[in-house]
Amino acid sequence: MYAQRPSFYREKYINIYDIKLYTLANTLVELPYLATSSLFFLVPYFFLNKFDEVGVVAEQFFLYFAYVALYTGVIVFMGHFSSTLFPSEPVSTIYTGQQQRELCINICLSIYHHAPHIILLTLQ
Amino acid sequence: MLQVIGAGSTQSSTVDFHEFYKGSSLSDSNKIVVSAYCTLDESKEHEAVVDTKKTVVKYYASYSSQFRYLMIRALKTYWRSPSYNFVRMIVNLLVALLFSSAYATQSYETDVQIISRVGLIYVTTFFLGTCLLSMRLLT
Repeated sequence: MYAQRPSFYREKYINIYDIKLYTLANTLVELPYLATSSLFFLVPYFFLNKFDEVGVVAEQFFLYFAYVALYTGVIVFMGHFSSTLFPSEPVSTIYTGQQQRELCINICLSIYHHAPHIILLTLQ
Repeated sequence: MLQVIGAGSTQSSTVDFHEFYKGSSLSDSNKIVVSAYCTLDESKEHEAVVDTKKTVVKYYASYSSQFRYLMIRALKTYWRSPSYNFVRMIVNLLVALLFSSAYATQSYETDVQIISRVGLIYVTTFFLGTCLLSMRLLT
């Protein structure tokens, strides 16, 4: 992201493209990688932990897949956001250290609060 | 080319590539091509800049072609940075195997085991998030 900056400023100055389209392309290109990397995580994880022993397996698998993919998406696009927002890499590192770990903790805690209800509901 | 750069046999190169290029024949031929493109052709109107209503258009290319070329470039950029993309997938695989190795022999029946699964979901979510964040910044 930082390596692309000089060329981005040059191209923006001579009006080659709209910035919206640049952002859209960089966002869309991330999506297949997100899906495959969350599948790499989910396939061994889901079946080794015996999540497939109760309930409807396909429904649970795709719900958990949606959860992992969306969560990774939030993390990655927050990374994009911070690396476009700040002028240099160290500043962006400090920002991520402060803010995004909190984001992680918040998402994880909300899962921790809600997951028992969801799992107990599927068991009944 | 390989003789000039030393083919990686030494750690650092003493050749100043900028000066070397300026003196080379490739530079001369490139200069001729560039100056041929830079001469202004007065006979042609710049039609792309002005549309039919004679209002100034901001971009030379249409939105669809802009988007197409940006997409191609972004795909190439991602494909050519395997240190980020494929290492990320391997790390995901390793995290999954590491955390599920603790639960592989357990059954999934009692309340306590269910609660421990919830703890597993919490820990893996957190671990994956921090891993991805630090890797995102390394690139």
